[in-house]
Order: sequence, then C-alpha cells, then structure tokens
Amino acid sequence: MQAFTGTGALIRLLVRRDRGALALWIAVMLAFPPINAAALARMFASTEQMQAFVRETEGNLLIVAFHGPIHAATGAGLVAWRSLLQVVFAAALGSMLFVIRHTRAEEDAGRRELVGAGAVGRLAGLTAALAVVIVADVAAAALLAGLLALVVGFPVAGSIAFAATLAAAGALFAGLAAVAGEVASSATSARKLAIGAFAGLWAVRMLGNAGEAAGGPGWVSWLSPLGWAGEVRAYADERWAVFGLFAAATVGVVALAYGLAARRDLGAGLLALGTGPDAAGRGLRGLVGLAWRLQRGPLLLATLALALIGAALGGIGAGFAEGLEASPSLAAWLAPLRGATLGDAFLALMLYVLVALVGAAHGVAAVLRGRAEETRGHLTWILATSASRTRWLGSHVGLALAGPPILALAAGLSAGSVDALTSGREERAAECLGLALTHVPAAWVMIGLATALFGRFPRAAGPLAWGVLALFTAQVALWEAGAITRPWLNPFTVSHPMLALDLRLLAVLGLAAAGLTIAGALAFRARDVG
Amino acid sequence: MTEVIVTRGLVKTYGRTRALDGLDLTVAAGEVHGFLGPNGAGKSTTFRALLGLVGADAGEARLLGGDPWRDGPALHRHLAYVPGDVTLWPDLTGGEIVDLLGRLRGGLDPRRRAALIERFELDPRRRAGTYSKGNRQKVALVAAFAADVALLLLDEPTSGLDPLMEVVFRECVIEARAAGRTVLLSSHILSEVEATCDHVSIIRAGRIVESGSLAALRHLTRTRVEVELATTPPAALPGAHDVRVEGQRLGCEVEAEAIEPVFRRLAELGIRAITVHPPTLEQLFMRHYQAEAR
Ligand SMILES: Nc1ncnc2c1ncn2[C@@H]1O[C@H](COP(=O)(O)OP(=O)(O)OP(=O)(O)O)[C@@H](O)[C@H]1O
Ligand SMILES: [Mg+2]
Repeated sequence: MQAFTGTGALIRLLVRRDRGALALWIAVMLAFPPINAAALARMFASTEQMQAFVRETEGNLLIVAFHGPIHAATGAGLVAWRSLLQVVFAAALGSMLFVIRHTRAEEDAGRRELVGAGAVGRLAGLTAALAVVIVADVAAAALLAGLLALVVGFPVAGSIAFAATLAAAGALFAGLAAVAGEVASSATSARKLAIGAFAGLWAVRMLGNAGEAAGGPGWVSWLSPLGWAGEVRAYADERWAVFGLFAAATVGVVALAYGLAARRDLGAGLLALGTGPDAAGRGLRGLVGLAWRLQRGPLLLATLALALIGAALGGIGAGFAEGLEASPSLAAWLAPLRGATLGDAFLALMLYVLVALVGAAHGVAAVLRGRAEETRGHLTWILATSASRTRWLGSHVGLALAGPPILALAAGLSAGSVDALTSGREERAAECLGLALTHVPAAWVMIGLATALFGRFPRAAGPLAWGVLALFTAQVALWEAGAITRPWLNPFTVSHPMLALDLRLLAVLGLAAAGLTIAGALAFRARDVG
Repeated sequence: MTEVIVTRGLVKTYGRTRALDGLDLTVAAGEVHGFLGPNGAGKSTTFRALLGLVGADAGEARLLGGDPWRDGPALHRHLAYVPGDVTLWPDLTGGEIVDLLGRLRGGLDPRRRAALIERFELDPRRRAGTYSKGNRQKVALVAAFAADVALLLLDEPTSGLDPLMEVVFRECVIEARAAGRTVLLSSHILSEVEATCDHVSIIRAGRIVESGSLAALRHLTRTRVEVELATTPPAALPGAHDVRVEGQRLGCEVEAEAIEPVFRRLAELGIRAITVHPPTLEQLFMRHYQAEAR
C-alpha cells in the first residue's frame, strides 16, 4: 500500500488550504431549499392555489424540460422539485472543480513532484482529494436532511432522500472529474472535459424530460445520472434503489480513475500528446493560423453540440402543434409570439438560450484564451517577432466574434430543419435560422466587453467578464420570472422572445460591441504585456 | 550606426518595486555583451523594455536605431529573442513552433534550421507538452539561431542545458559573432560569459554598476597572493588588502596597480615559496552581488 503513503498528511493540507471555500460551498448548497421553501410558502395561500400551479406546470414544456415533472403536489414535494436543479448543480460543479484543483492542477504547477518526492505515494493525492470532497458532500447532505426534517418540518424519509441525492451527485461527479484529470493533458483541458461531460449529461436529462412530456419514450432521462437525480422522487414514492445506481456508477468511475492514475506517468495524459509533424504545415502560417489552432477545438465542439441539441429540440418542438393561446399565462408572457404554436414558443426560448447565452459564454472563453496566452508567457514571445499587437489581438477576437454566428447557424438550421421535416411546415427552417441570428449581437457585446476588460484590466478580466455574464443571466432569469422590471443596460433583453424584435436596437448592440472591441484594442496597445 | 542598444536613465516601476532605476546600457554593433546580475536585478525587465513589451516610466531606449515602443514590429524583423522562461504551446510540435516563430518574423533559412536541429539533437516531431526543460530551451535556441537577424537577445538561454549542449550553444554564439551579429546575453553562468563575451555589464537593483570589456574588468579585480617569507612578515603591507599573517606565511589580495610595489617589498623580505592566483571575474561579480546583501 506504498502508493497511498502520506494520504493523511495530504488530507490535512487540503482541508487547511480550502476550509474556508469548503464551508462557503456547503453553506450555498444548504441555502437553496430553505429559500425556496420560504418563497413557495409566500406564493401559495391555499392548497387550491398550489394544485392549480401544479396542473398548469405539468402542461408547460419549458418548465418541465428544466425542472422535470412534479412528483408530489405537496409543499415539501414542490420545494424538492424546485431546488433539485440548484443543489445538484452546486454539488456537482463544486466537487468537480475541487478534485481537479487538487489533482491535475497541482501536478501542472509542479507541486506534485515536490510532494511526490517526499514520503507520499503516487495515489495519495487522488485519494486525499476524493476523500475530502466526498466527506464534504456527505456532511452537507446530513446537514441538509437535518435542516429540512427538524427545522423546516418536512417528512423525514423524503428529507433524507432529497439530501442523499446531493451527496450522490457530488460523489459521482467527483469521480468523473478524477477520470477527466487522468485523461486530459492539463488542468484546463480536464476542467473543460468535466464541465463538458456535465453539460452533455444535463442536455440528455433535459431532452428526456421534454421528450417524455411530449409523449416520447421515458427511458431517455435514465441515460443520464442527472436524470436519476429526478427519479429519486423525494417526498413522493421515494425510490431508494436509484441510490444503488449512483453507488455503482461512482465505484465504477473512481476505479477507472485509480486504474488510469496507477498507469500514467506524471505530467502525461491519456489524450496524449504523441508525436506530430516535424515542420509547420500551411495552416500554421501566421497569427490567424495559430489562433485557429488554439481555438478550433472548443469551437468545433460547441458547434457540434449545438447542432445535435438543436435537432433534438426541433423534433420535440414539432410535437406541440396546439396554439399558444391554449395556455393564457404563457401567451401573456410571450406576447410577441401570439399566433405561434406551443412548440414554436419552446424553440424560440431554447434558441435564445443556446445562441445568446451559450454563444456569449463561448465568446468570453475565446477572448480569455488570449489572456491565457499572455499569462503563460507565449505572448511575449509572439510580440518579440514582427507580429503587431493589433494583429495578434485581432486574430483571437476575430475568431471569438465568428463564434456566435457559426453557433446560430448550427442551432438554428438544425432545429428549424428538423422541425420543418417533422411538422411539414417548410417555412420553419428559415424562421428558426432568422430567430437564431437575432441573438448574435447580444453575444458580440459580451465579446466586446471581455476584450475591453482584457485591454484595460488584464488581471481582473476573467473574473470580471464571467461575473458580468452571470449577473446579466441572473437579471434575465428574474425578469422572466416577473420579479424585476426590464434591466435596460442588459444586452440580453433586446432579442428576448418576450419582446417584439426591434432591428434598430440590434444595430445599437452591434455598435456597442464594435466600440467596446476597439476600446479594448486601444487599451491593449498602450499597456505592458506579460 | 555603431550602437545597437542604447538606454539612458531607463526607469520601470511595478508598484513599489523599481525594477529599472535609471539604467544606462550601451551595446555596440558586433559585440557579444554579457549581462549579469543577481536574481531580481532587472535583467528580464530590461529585455522586455528593449522589446517594447513594457513601457518605461522615464528615460529613453533605442534599439537598432529605432524606438522599441513605437516601432516594435518593424524592428523585431531584425532580432530574435529567447525568453527567460521558455513556455511552449503543449499541443504544437517543436518543429512547428520553430517554423511558426520564423514565419512570424518573416521567414527562416531551412538549411540552417535543419543543421541546428541536428546539432542540438532536438526531436522536432515531439509535442512540446512532452519536452523536458532542456528540450524546451533547445526549441527556443534553434528558433533564435536559425533566424537571419542582426541582433540576438538571449535571456538566460542555457538554463537546463546539459554540458554537451552548453558547448554547442557557445559555438553558436561564437559563430554568430563571426557572422557580425550583435548578442546581448544574460546569464548566471560566469564561465559561459567568460568564454563567449567580449563586453560585460553588471546590473544591480535596476542600475548598471559596472560595464566594460572583459580585459578591462579583469584589470579591476585583485590578484590573490600566498607567500612564505624568510623573515617575520610586517603587520602592514602598503597596497595589499585582506592581509592575513600566520607565522611566516602571509596571504593578501593585490590590485593591479599595486602588484609591482607589493612584490618589491616582498622580495626585500625574502620569498621562500609563493603561489599567485590570477584575477577571476568571479571575484568581481561576488563583490557586486554581495554588495546588495549589505
Ligand atoms: N510583472 C511584474 N510585476 C511586478 N513586479 C515585477 C514584474 N516583473 C518584474 N518584477 C520585479 O522587478 C524586479 C526585476 O525583475 P527581473 O525579472 O527583471 O529580474 P532578473 O534580473 O531577470 O532576475 P532573475 O535573475 O531571477 O531572472 C524584481 O523585483 C521583480 O519582482
Ligand atoms: Mg530573469
């Protein structure tokens, strides 16, 4: 068992380094259900109101796609239904990032060699990270079960089942992240791989939920562990056997991670970096070639993912041919879509999410890839050649700006043509593509903003850009829910399906994006590099 | 144009740190100029300022007759740079990186590239993520020496190289000088500087504290003398430093100007045995390096 020597010491080190973050993370997970309980208690004065809400929600494809079906029309059941997404999200993402931070990122920083040269076995780091995060997940679950059963006063069995879902999802995704850390060739690509897997499994659950509501097969959501989380059915007819599935999957991925870790050399990855061409091909001719080489992976992956998701959504949307007027609250909410079918409204919202929000996130990540080139020291080297700052920035920002239209094409065309083929309404292909393209300027504004931040505040650019995007997204969510009035400075409101399209405002967004990009380029030319 | 690099009163501050504090550096055309100084003295910052990557807070820098901040890309066509901390794109192969940097500069000589890859024993087909530290350094060196340029800016270029490759590096520098190139070489390896450079500047805390030809600098250092005398040594010996007396043995250090009077005096006292250590640059460096600790 020499491979595990020193695990105890490493566990103490991890807890010492991260106890604050761990406590905060657990607090966040515990906060969601009580907040939702309080909000729901305020919303429904009577049981009748609650029943009416459940009836209306069951027919609402949009809500069911995100949150899954409601299994128990009780106060506790609604809280569990409403909180599941948030709690599982927080548990899975937190667990994944923690594991990668303490395995692959340590190794990349060279600290594992430092530690590895001491009295620490080769599997100790992985074991320590998994042990700490799984104990934290279980502790959070125990606290949550106690909170719900003893303080809030929900049924005990349901509280345990709901809280256990948190721990199960956290542990499973911790194991998946450990595998990603072994497979990928760096911490960054490990994070991308893990978060990509999470997003993919999330998409499967969403498609399963929506498809089932549309009369499709019920087994699709069972393909994803995130689908299992909904099948626990806390506060309804709890299915404890689902935890067996979680346990088996977790043991499987953890065993896989250990198998890989025991075989792999330090610093290498499975998706390895073997040999390649001994000279640069025609593609790697200059700055654009290099930027393309660095950015093509995420762009092609996102394009493929959006095309697939778009096609699946198009098929689901085509199944809802009844008019939007059938649901008065929905028709009031999406006033500009009056006359459309329920499926059209669903697709309109989904294209908004895919192109405006996912497209913006992709664009921000692409701009920040340029910042990574700077922090890794590659930029000093490039700028020591005849390459000018403006041309270098142009190569990265140009590729970032190309992202949203490409993603709009992929999502809009695939959703529209599948919808057209399924429903026989040929005009849907062009309609969906046009709709998708209207979201491009909003994504461009975020790219411009990220560029401006990179030019002016390079150190803070990453956190600031992601923070603003998160803030904008949260504002939109609150605005959609009717909690706030329209946030005027938020670019993501302009093309939202809740509002009639105003082409002049789209042009304003385009100008704003251009202005921010130019401001970023000017600031970048005037500042120190490296 | 005989001066390839000139800085006058160059100042660069990072918050409270004065990385460059009135730097006056001059490098003439065709010179191989050693650039020495303790850790954190400002060597890498000087390179970055000369490349126009960072803007100076005060003072002036001229490189190849131009202003590096304003005319960077145009000037860079005529120079190659090896950064102090070579990081490579992990997914690109060594050969691709050499070519990419060459193309970004405006082309490189394929024959020279092939010859250098052979001499440095670099495997150009490996992905850079799998290179060892020394191999990463070789990629940077091949890219720099393969370039047809007037100036080489080398920031600790040999860190991580094995002794055999160190020899190849020295040959390359000497060939570059023979080809009329100018080289600014920062290094912590004194023997490397002694073997390749004709001029040296020493930087400490952002200022040049010593600059000149190697021969002139040697002149500044002291000769170490150990002598056994026929009589009891005197307590004081004019012109000698650090005098230590032990029985009839005497050890001291003598500056170049004082060698003749000191040896006359020692001869008068009767010399039984003597060892003389010629001046080394190391002493000079140590003197300047240690001054910082005080
Ligand atoms: N980007 C930066 N931000 C803040 N301080 C910096 C930065 N770059 C350099 N410094 C500081 O400037 C000083 C000079 O650093 P520099 O890297 O030029 O030293 P050096 O002579 O190259 O040292 P070494 O021999 O260790 O490579 C140091 O005190 C360093 O901490
Ligand atoms: Mg340095």
